[in-house]
Amino acid sequence: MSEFKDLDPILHSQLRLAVVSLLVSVKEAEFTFLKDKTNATAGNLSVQLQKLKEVGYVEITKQFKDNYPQTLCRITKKGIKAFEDYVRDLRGYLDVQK
Amino acid sequence: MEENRLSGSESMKIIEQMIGRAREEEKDSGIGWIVWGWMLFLASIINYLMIVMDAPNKYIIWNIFGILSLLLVLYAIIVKPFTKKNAPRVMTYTNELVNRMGIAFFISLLIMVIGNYTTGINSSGLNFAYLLLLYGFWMFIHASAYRFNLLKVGAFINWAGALVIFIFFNELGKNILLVHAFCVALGYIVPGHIARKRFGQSVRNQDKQTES
Repeated sequence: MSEFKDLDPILHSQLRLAVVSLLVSVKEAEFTFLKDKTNATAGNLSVQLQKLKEVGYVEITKQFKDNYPQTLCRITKKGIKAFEDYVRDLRGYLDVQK
Repeated sequence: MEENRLSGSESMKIIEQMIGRAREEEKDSGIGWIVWGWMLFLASIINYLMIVMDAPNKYIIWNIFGILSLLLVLYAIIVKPFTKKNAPRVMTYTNELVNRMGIAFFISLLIMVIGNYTTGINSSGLNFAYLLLLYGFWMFIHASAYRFNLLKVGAFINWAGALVIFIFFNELGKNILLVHAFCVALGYIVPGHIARKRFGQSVRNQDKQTES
């Protein structure tokens, strides 16, 4: 898999890439929305979101709304830049393959 | 979603798929157009009939309409965001823009209605032309944001109605109310019901996807 050595390893993962692709398209999204759209389990999604948070790609806000816990996720500027770089590198790789 | 090693084309497919799913959230439920449309339509027709029948307080329906509108706006601002069932799980940039535009529309409308009363324009019926212009403006941008072309047609119908009132103002008289009702019926109510039907269909499709 040496052809992928330049791709961001954080984003080059199925679920993390799906989450970032969703978040880059919206202003903010609830955890349940991400779970539904990615068909991921709550546990796996939590782990992957935590990884994205640790590298500063997403911000996670936990709050209570009408006595229900609510987790809001939002992509950061660093996350947008990383996503743009990832897509550019990916396109470069796909062009080479053609 | 399982964690497998991705190929380049798989990565691209995920990106396209997820951006597509996020865009599914940018749709119009149509309920606003239906409620607002029927309110305007009924108020216009009732006002027209009261003039024809030479009833006392011919214009009282617009006072009732104004109170109902204010109550609906207060409900939308204060009550609706706090009900969990209706709380949006995602806020797209388009939804945010359209929401803000809705606020700008109602502020403009309120000032226009106040101006209509203070200047006396409302007694001439010319106010309906200005209102149709404002409706058209709102509908056109809303339709463009949600890629809902039928509502764009509605905007042009409202603009055409305004033009008709301006050109044939002296001849129309009380029939201005019928022009207004006609534009509202075709411009708001018909697209509203079509949007409602499409929205219901897409929600059912999403439910099926979630279940599978």
